[in-house]
Amino acid sequence: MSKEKIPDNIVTTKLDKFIGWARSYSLWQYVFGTACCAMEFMSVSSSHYDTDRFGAAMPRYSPRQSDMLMVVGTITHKNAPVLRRVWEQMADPKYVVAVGACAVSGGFYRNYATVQGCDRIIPVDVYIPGCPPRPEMILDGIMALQEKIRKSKQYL
Amino acid sequence: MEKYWMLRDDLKDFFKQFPNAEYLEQFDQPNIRIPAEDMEKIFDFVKNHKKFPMDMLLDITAVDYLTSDYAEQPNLTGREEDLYSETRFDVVYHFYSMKTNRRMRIITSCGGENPEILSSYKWWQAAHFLEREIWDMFGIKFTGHPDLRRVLLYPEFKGFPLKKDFPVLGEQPRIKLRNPEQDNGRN
Repeated sequence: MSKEKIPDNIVTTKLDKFIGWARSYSLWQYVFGTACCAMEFMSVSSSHYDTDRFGAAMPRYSPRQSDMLMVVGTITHKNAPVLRRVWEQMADPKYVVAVGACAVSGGFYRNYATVQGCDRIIPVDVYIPGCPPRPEMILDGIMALQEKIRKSKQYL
Repeated sequence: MEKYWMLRDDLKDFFKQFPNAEYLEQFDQPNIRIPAEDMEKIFDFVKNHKKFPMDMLLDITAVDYLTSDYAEQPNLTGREEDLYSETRFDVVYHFYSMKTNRRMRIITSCGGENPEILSSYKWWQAAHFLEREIWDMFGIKFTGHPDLRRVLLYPEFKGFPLKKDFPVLGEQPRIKLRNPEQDNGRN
């Protein structure tokens, strides 16, 4: 079919690209906030920084309805089974963002109580360092995740 | 400073009863160091003091006087006798008298293979969680406590992490941990 025969109001694309585009702009988040980074995260999700621009303004209070798990804060060994279970309850496709030094690597808590990074419990897509990260860094992390979703193969 | 002297003068009768008690003034508060066998009497005394009844138990803390070398060098000589020393732990009670705005501390020592001390729950119910926390962190058993369980750590945790001979990295995971470098799949 040559290009002239397609009317102007029809756009062609690949299925992967189309689904990736749709998924990247409807990131409903489940915020697993355990520590002080969660306080910082409040300002990100409220109107000043406005995550609605990325389609990520809708915090779901049930992991079963969410696409993106934000691990915001220190994960202790006592809390680890809870985080694992929350992640297991999420329906595919699911993405995980680790926010803050503690969620990324354990931060300065090198002791018996703290998990040395939440990637020891669940697979993580985007790491956002900082103690706590600036709101701009969290937005940058969300944009990096969107980029990652758009580029990856979409499983249906 | 005057108010502390008042309290000390008032405690004079008490020191006649307990010759082993030691009076100190540290950190702007009167402290009484007392052997563990006198604890029951001193709880009665402070709670029902005529002038300054200590009706509020603010906090209970414990101090481990073992040096932290033991965690790093487990084969240090003299380890056994230091570990089971009768004066290894200090237990510190912080009291407050709400009517007269006075504070004081009571310090006592314990140790041995299974450190044990009298529970103050009978006198102050606030001791319930405070003593559980000390059991959780130091392994000091409070005799007479109604429900001595771990309060911060999970029940299957082995050992007492604030003891100086507990290893710094004594992690005890409850679930199998992933290795993020080898295992990049979705599990």
